[in-house]
Amino acid sequence: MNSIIFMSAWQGAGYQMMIFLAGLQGISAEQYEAASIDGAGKIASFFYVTLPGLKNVIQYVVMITVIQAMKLFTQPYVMTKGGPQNSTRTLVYYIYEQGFQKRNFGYACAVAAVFFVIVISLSLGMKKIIKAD
Amino acid sequence: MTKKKTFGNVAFYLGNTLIALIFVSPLIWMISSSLKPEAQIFKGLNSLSTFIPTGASLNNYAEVFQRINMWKFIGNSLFYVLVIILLDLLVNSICGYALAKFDFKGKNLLLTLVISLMVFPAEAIMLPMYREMADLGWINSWASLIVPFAAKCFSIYMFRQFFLDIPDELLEAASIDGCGPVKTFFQVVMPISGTVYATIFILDFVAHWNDFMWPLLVVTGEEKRTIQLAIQTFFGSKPINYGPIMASLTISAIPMLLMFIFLQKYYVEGIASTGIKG
Repeated sequence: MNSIIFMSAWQGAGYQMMIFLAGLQGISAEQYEAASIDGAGKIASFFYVTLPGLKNVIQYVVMITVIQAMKLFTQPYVMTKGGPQNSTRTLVYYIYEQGFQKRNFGYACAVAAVFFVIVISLSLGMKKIIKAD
Repeated sequence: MTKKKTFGNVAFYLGNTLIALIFVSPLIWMISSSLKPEAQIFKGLNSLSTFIPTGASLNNYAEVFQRINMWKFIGNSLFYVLVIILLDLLVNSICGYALAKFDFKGKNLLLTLVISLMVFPAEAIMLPMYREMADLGWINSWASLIVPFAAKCFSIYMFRQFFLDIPDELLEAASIDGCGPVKTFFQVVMPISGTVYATIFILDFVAHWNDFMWPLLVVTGEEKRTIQLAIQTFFGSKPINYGPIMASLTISAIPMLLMFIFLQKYYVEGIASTGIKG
């Protein structure tokens, strides 16, 4: 599992970096100036100017990453095929296995429906927790 | 004062370059492994020498093209990705235009559906979709690879956001000159929307070139196999030589690299604009 985590993190990092880059460009320089006038050093201005300004972006990135992580199929299929003792058997891989290899079509559809409900509730939950404007 | 600033800058860029190299290192290893003879690939894994292709030759690439019908698979992938993009650009831009510029009953409902279904995971409906393809008799045909992806919520949303910014006066002038809605779209709106078309083009290309799960389900046999599935055959068929595997991976990465080099600006803009608007 650790190798899949590491690989997926490496894979997604570039995409997420670009989004953060765009978000950073959206924070105006005047806010930094105002913060330094108020006596904030570099670290303080990072926590009080940059991070709040990035709230929208952070919410988007967290949501997209969690949803992509829930959907993980290719990595377990290529690398571990469910892994040693079910440790990398992700939900979508389970759906694929049940539906196409073990031919339990109905059961796999039921799992897919539950998967859908989980993803939707996760998205809504995250939207509530990271309240962005 | 200047000295301190320069040192800070140098250290900054050095650190960035180091991090960039660490991120790119798997790709560099892949490319250099594809050039090395078989014995050398796993030889120097503990040192930096594994990144340097000693004994560089194109043998692995030759072996890839000899063992499997690589040109056909590249052609298959290119064909189906380009057709998906064409359909996508056409269908979704019209939908986005309608949602941006017209008022009709149920417009708000449609818009809400589009926005909320953007985060919908395609994998959840894979099985019912497969069932539909089977009932239609489309398994192992171009239709099953292309049609399910012709309409995308994300593209519709991006087109809508872009078309919202087109001034209404332009469209009114077109209608005064006698253009119906269709003609207005194709002759007035489309030519000035190059940016968003390029953005969707490259986002779609990246997404579908890397498509693995859906082709795995609907493609049986070699006729319509895409390049990602073809690479998988290398992992299964004996002898498992890592040289040709790396070569085939490099081949599949080349169109991506080309796309990115030429359309980088649109890719960054496309990703950035989706992030900001949240």
